[in-house]
Amino acid sequence: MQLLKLAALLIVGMVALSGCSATSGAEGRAKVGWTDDGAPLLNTKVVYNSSNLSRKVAIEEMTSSKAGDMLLAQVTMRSKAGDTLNLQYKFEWFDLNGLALNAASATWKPLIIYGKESKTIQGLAPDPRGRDYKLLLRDAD
Amino acid sequence: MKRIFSGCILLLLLALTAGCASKVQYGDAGSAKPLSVEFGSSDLQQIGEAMVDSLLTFPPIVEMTAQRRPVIAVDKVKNKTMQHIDTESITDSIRAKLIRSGKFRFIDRTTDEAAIAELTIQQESGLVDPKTAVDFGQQIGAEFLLTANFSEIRQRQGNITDTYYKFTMNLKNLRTGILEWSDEKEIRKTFKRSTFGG
Repeated sequence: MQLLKLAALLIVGMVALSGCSATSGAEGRAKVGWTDDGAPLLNTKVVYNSSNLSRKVAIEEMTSSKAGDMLLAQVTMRSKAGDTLNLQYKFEWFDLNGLALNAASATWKPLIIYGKESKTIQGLAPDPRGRDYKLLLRDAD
Repeated sequence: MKRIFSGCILLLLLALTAGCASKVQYGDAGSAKPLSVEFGSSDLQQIGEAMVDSLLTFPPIVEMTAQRRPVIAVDKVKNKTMQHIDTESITDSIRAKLIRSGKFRFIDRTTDEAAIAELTIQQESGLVDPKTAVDFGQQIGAEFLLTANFSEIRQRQGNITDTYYKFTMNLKNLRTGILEWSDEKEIRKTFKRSTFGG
């Protein structure tokens, strides 16, 4: 009787879990602004939508630089896990008014971070209008 | 007791048949989920993006494109892999990204036949106002040629297949013959056959 109950619970668990894979991850948003002296200032905001991912990886630094008139984004992240992380990332770009430049064409790229390692990734704006960027990070499904 | 047992059977059946129904749905065209070690859509996207980012951030190229938009012709990719790959699709994707960056202009030799036919009609059919007809010999010559090599190294050991792809791209100055830029993108894909099942 007890065994049957356990089996029933196990099967209910199996049914509930089958076909489930979380696609939420983390988002880092960087907005380029200017200080009163005219120096560039980057406002960054990182949101972890997945507690699983926030336990494994930390977005440490988001910076940007110019290659001619194109903005180059750079994000440094550190693995908190001991084993290798298989992640995916993509950059989305926005113009001065916050309009998306590549929302439809941004593609996920694989990212492998070895245990406790810090890794830097870069992304280039699709055209000179790119001012702000968003980094999306998630577990490889 | 009997009721729990039949409940269990029902749930087991449910668990076994879950996800069995055939269905069609849209997928994410930008997904990076590999299905095999063969060349896939995400590989194409990664190569395209890596080449464009590298070319547009290379300091001499940044300097050159600051004031003008040089004209480039695209050569066929030398496919040295063991797969049949539509390499034109890779260069098309790179070309589209470079055009959209506003830094380069391209000539397309694949549509020349249609262009010649159109110009011939404009010049010789008598249908087109000679003032608006486009003359032969007005096109701009390319200053650079974009060339590429695509190679693959595949290794098999027991139940593991390891495939390494290397895409090398060069920008050749047609006047001087000098390679103004070159870069490569490497991709490694590993497939481990499970001991149980397929």
